[in-house]
Amino acid sequence: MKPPPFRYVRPSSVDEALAALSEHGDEAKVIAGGQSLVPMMNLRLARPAVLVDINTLPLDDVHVEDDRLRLGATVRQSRLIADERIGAAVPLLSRCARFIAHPAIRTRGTVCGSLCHADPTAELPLASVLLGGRVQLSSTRGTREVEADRFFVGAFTTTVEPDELVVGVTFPVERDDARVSFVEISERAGDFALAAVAARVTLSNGALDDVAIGVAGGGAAPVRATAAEDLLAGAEPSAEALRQAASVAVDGVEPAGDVHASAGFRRRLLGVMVERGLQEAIAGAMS
Amino acid sequence: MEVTLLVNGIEHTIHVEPRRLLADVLRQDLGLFGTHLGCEHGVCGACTVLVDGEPTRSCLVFAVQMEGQEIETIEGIDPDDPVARAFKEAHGLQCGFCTPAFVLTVSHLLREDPDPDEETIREAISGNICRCTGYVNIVKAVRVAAASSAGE
Repeated sequence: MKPPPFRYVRPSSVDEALAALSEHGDEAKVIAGGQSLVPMMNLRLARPAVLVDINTLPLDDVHVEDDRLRLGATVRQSRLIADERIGAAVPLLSRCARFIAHPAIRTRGTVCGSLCHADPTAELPLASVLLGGRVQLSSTRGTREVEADRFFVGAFTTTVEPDELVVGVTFPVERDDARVSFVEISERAGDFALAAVAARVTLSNGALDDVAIGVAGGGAAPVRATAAEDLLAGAEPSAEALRQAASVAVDGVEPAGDVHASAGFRRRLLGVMVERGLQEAIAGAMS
Repeated sequence: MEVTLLVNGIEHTIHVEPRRLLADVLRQDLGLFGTHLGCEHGVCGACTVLVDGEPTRSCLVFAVQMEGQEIETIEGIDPDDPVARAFKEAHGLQCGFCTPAFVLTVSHLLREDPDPDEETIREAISGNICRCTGYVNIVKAVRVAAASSAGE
């Protein structure tokens, strides 16, 4: 199918973009990469009256400042792999990017666009919740920053107001001794994930020090498995401890069942994936 | 809206409705029928063209967004090009529907990495679906293309 008609606005500055959003409110949609929005328009699941195209605005900067990596609104997902500064500062971002759709989608799709789309099992929302990402929003009313764990309020739903533009996202620069893993299961390479898990650990004298576990596919939005994290903090990374943590991690999840996988299967998957994710991160920290 | 598209080195200034997808404008307005539309939501890969050298789904961008960018379609590839020849020689196609997008995707791969290993090849073409060949001969075609490009 083809997209329904819309008015196309190409602002020449961020202020002009904000003015357009303020004028048109929820009639308008921002288009950056468009790799989720345009399919939805082609399928007529989305019918914005106005599209505000931010691709030509100077929003594609990548830099590290005050121990945080900042990615502007039009930084493409392919840059997470290609730009070595990103992999060096926040390794999980480049690692998870390989799971995002296909190469030809990543050349156009943006990091911030994926956050705004808020697919429950998407890679970048999960990574940003695990890493403590902060989304930067602007509108004609002012600017604000929202922590990733409060940004996602449900499936395909965020705290972005209709007149707001996400102008960038920041992530804490990773500690040198931290090791991360990203585990995803989908039916075919590049498909939407059935479930995904991200983990980060540091070791101190052979015991687990900092442990972070993020789970996607266990509910409407990605979450940290805090009970499992607490269980492991300070513990020896034994096989038994990881099994217990995995079981605690899936205690609280409420996966959805659909044509691709039942809720029970997703829960089972998540338990196995948490264990594997932890094993992989710990193996990295030990080597 | 007026937009100037630079396609295979030739500028075309045309009037298009904003809602028209690049794929449709290439086919219907410019008569470049080598760009094929399959699923129209970014999954099948048949409409892939190169935008500023990067593989891009022409069903997921609007023509009005392409002002000032360089677009390369299958019509811009010489039939004697090593990649096009390799698909023929290695039987990397049957019905041909997915082939233009494969040739462009592989051309991009070999420009970036002239001697890719099998895993790299499979990753690069993972976003293109072929319902005829089972991919074995497509992977072989990429190898043949890499070898013949190296030999030239």
